[in-house]
Amino acid sequence: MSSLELTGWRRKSGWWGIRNHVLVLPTNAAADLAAGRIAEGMAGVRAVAHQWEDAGDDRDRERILRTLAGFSSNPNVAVALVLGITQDDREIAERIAATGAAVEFMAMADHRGTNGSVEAGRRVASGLADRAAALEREPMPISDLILGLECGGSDALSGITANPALGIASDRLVELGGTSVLAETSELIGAEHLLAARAVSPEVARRVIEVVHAFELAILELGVDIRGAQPAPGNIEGGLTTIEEKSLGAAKKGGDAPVSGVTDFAIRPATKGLYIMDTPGHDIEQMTGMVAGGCQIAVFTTGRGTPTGCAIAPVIKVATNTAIFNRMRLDLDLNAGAILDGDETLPSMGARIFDEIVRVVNGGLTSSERRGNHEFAISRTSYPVPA
Amino acid sequence: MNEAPKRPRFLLLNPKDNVAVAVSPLKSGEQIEIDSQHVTLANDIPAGHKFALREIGAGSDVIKYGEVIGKATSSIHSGEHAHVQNIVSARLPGPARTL
Amino acid sequence: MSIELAGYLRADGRWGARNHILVLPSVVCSGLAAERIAQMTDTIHVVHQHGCGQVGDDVEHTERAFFGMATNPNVGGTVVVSLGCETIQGKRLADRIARHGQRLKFTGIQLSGGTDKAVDAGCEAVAALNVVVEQDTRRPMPPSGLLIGVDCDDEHGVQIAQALASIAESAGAGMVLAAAGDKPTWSSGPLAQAATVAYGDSAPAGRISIVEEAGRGSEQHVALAAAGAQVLIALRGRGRPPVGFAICPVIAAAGDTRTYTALVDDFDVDGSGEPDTVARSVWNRTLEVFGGRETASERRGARDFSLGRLARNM
Repeated sequence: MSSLELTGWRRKSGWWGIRNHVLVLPTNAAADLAAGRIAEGMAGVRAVAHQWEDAGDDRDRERILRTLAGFSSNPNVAVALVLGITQDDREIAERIAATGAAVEFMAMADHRGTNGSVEAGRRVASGLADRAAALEREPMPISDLILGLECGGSDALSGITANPALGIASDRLVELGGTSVLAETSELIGAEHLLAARAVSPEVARRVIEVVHAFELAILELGVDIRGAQPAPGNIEGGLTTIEEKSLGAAKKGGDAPVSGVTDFAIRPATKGLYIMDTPGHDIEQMTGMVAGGCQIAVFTTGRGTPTGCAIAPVIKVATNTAIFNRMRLDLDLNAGAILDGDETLPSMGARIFDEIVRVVNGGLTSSERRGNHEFAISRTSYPVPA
Repeated sequence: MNEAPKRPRFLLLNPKDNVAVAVSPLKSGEQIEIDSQHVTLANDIPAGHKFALREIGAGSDVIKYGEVIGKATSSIHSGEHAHVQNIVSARLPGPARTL
Repeated sequence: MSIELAGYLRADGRWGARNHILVLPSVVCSGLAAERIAQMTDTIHVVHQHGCGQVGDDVEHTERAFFGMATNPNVGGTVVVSLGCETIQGKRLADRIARHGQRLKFTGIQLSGGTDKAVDAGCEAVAALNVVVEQDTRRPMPPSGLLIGVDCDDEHGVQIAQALASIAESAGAGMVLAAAGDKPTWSSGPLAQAATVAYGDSAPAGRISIVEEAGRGSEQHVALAAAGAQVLIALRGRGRPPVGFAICPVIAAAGDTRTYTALVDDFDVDGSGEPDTVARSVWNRTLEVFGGRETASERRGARDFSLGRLARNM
């Protein structure tokens, strides 16, 4: 059992970060290239890209804005450098500042466009990286940790090895006063009654059922056959037959802890404990939403093998089976397949995951961090995008 | 001599279940003993896939993890491969699947 | 007026203004592998957030967009990089592209055994494609081989598009316009006679046509490229910044002079002037660009790729 001494950076917002990145955030797709080049090869500086062009009347505008602002205000970010188009393009930067997070702003229009912005931006980012490097870690209460729970490329073993083991680790965090976020609403269809039964209040129970049924209704209204998306072809090859079966396995990531609340996409849990966040099952949208909602770290279980991570948060990858762990060794971190091999039990694997969380919080790198993954996605509930 | 724990070849996840999960690929004809039930496999079962532990009538619930995971679209006999060809979601059925 | 152009003649009879090798991830999760392959081989890649959790017509719509990118005549060869478990199945997409006659290689992360192995395999695939692609040379092209792709944000842009359509028609060239919704109607002029092209279908050569449901903003670039356009003309609305495109040069026309001046390195022309004058200037630039002159988007190495979708992710 590891020592439970965690360290992190305490931000002005009062939130704690376990990484200390400078994040370059483009406000608009037109700024993606410049943002990426500002961060390129610069130690301590990360960038993300997205395809949003703020074009006026957009039903998802609020959802997208709070995702961009929330991601940039995550306490793993020491300071955000928001790259806008003109000086009027400050809405996201202002939302970040309102949380108490540190933010600087640059407009491409002040530098003639991309190349000038890159030149100026690299100078600015370099100074910000120096500023960040001067900040020191302090002892961090575990109750300030928010853990994202994710599964992707699931197979039938996800619900048998990796997810229940993660559930044990998650329960331990919650017992110690921390927070875990269970998401992927489409992958709770068929398991929502089990989560509602553990809700801390009738109101929370109602919200659990409501959020899952709302997603289900949205799917029915589309009038589509969800098979092929849920379960996906890889899930089906791996033995998962229906969405319920997938969900019952997916819900195990949340362990047995009481469910303290339900939040919307990219909205921070209001209290501690196990929360459900309403996100799609799309791996990157989910990760983006959880990190925008305050998760500083995530554990991501996988059966078929997923190589993704996150630009500003460490993602610990746990294989459901030994075959994929060996096959994709450099994209993964832990092997829950060891349970079936007889080398671990569920409790010992749960403890191993928890110990790894502590190690990574305190600075140990994950495989996705070594690789420099920077997947990012905005999330839409409505299409097509209005002009 | 202490034997290393053997890797299970199949798992029954809950006593209420009417399907079990193959952990390793299993061959048609193999005789399986689970929870004092005897099942003869009627098909090859790929790793991770399910086989029926007893007759599941068309339209009946398929139970795994002690919960309903779907409905049988046709009778599934004991030992048969139970998957997309004979199970459909009870929640989000799509257009009828033809084999 | 006769135009003299030289392009790359492709197996499907269409002509390219460029000869790119494209590294295309079939799903968001293989984006980093595609990026690494392209960085190591100095080819073109795109990064996107699609291919996972898609349902209904949205699946075919996205496959058509990817297919259109890979088979656009500016592309001399494509490497599809897949993950393996995703909704938009990379292998199926690769086969579809190959059946079209495009030079195609395929690599999968789960199949290869991880990102590094997929990147190695992808680099080898590029090398194999290069052997053939670098043999391609330009040859004289009839005017009907030219297909310009035009997207516009507002009424001023529409007027410029109409003027461009007239010029293209007189030159015997083709033009495809992106419409955000159903095909708009014009009472007169070449746009009134325009053919309709479904998203992902090839636009007819030497004619004026309109792609329906082409998406909004720079999503329209994909729709135009999928229709086979070689040079894109982005007639941006007032205040709108320019967005490039991975496989086609984009001539970006600013909607107002203030925005043009502010982002002068990223725009190609100030499009705020009189529509006929702007159209003439853009047309002349198009001919130069077709022949190899770099647009602002190419100078900065733009790799943008925004995909319009029909449904939310699951």
